Formats: sequence, structure tokens, C-alpha cells
Amino acid sequence: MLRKGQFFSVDLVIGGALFLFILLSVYTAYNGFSLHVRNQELNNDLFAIGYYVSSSLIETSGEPYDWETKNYDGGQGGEKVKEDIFSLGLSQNRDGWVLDQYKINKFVELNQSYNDVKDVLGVRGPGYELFVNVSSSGNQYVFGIAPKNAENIVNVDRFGLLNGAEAKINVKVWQHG
Amino acid sequence: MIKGRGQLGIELLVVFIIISGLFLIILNVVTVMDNNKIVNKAEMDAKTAVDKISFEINNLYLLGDGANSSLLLPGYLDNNVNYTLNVYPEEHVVEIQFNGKRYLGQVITGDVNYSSTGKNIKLENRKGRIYAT
Repeated sequence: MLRKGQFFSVDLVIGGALFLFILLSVYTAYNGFSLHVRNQELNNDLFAIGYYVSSSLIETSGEPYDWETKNYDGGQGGEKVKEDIFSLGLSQNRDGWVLDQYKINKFVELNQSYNDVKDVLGVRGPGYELFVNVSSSGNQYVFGIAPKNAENIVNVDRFGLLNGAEAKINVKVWQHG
Repeated sequence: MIKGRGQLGIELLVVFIIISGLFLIILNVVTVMDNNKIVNKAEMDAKTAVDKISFEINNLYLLGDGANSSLLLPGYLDNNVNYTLNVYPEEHVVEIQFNGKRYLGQVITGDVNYSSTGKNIKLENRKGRIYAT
């Protein structure tokens, strides 16, 4: 009986269990680390997009510079957003930071072509969405989709002038949960 | 005595089989981890390359007329993986293709003239249009 007991000894079972436990721990730690790196990369990506969107809007007037004067109706006699706007900017001139009321109004109007505008501003990625809020003198001008069920959100706040008053431009780039 | 020796031999065999099994499991796990690492390293290199050029295009556009710079992209991605770069201005996209996969970078201007075929790229902003040669 004792000799049979040696067959599957307690030592072997404990040793094997300990070994498997260590193996699983290493595997879990590795997966956790990979997930952390991926999330960090995603946040960096969202931040870079948010930063360039805010810069494009505040620091440039867009191309063509008079893009806000055109009628964008998807090509039905008017212009198409993606084909006819090279870049979007809300500034009055190339020097930036002085925002143009007409450009802001047109930008808000372009909510109807949200996906095209998102592409023009370089917001691309799986489930990436954009929300822009320009607030000045108690007025709010909103473009895009406000975050809901968001898994990752990046906020970029910039400041400029609108009609001689301070304007705050809040850009949110977020990803669906 | 004969029984005892036989049991010892079988125990050794069983322990050997179990240890070999565990060793094979570890080997399999380590190989999968290593393969993932290699794939991820090439993907990371691709992402870095495409980000490098798309960020540079964005920066030059924001800097305005006359701004210029040059970029030296790696000849190959990790593990000698070859790649190709494409720019689709109307889509505001820079694309890198490697190993049948692709990764996209985004740019804030659609006014890009990309004619470079090498990995040493010169970029210039001429009146709002970005030239990459």
C-alpha cells in the first residue's frame, strides 16, 4: 500500500500545482501589461487627433480660406464637403487665434455632414467620434456628437478671440464603449 | 523486490511524462507570446512610420507657407518586413501596407502632393499645399 502511495505522491501534486500557478501568473501579468500598453497607445492616438483638430480650427482659416461662403449640399448644385474643403479652420486669417463668426456659424451648420467633416479634420479610427464646443460671451456653438457610453475620452481646451471677447474652444475626441 | 523495482520504474516514467507535458505547455505559451511580440513589433514600427509622416504633414501645414523639413523612414520594419506608403489626400489619409496588413494615419489637410518613392522624404509647404518628394 505504501509503495502504491508513492505513485502519485503529494509532493508531485503540490509541485505541479505550484508550477502551474506560477505559469498562469506570468501569463496573466503579460496579458495585463499588453492591455495597459494598448490603452496607453489608444489615448496617445486620441490626444494627437484632438490636438491637431484644435490647432486646425484655431490656428488656420481653412482651405480654401473662404470655405464658409459656399453652399454644401452634397453636390446637388452646390459643393461637396470632402471634395471641396481641403482643410477646416475657424480663424479669420493665417495668423490664427482670432475666430470668425461666419466660419463658426457655417461649421455648426455642417453638422448635417458630420461624417465628412470628421474625415476632413482627420478624425479616423474604430468608433472615434468628435465633439467641438466654442463658448464665448455666454453663447455656445456646438458641433458633433457629445460623448455617451464612451470608453476613452480626450479633452483639449484652447483659447482664442471671438468678436473681441475671449472664446474657449473645447475639443473632445472619444471612442464608443 | 520485483514489485518494488517495477513501481519505481513506472513512477519515474509517469513523472517524466508529466514534466515533459508541462514543458511542452510552457514551450507553446512562450512561442505564442514571442510570435505576438514579433507581430506587434512590426505593427508598432508601421504605426511609428505612418505617424511620423502624418504628424510632419500636419505640422508643416500648421506652420504655414515656406515651412519645410525632411524625414528619414526606416528601410524595413522589424524582422526585415518590407512596406509601402501611400497618401490619399482626398481621404485625408496616409496608409502603410505591410505583410498584407495596413495601418492608417490621418492628416488635417487634403492639399497634399505626394510623389516620393524612397524612404528619405523632403516635405515643403508652398502656399498651403504640402509637397512630399
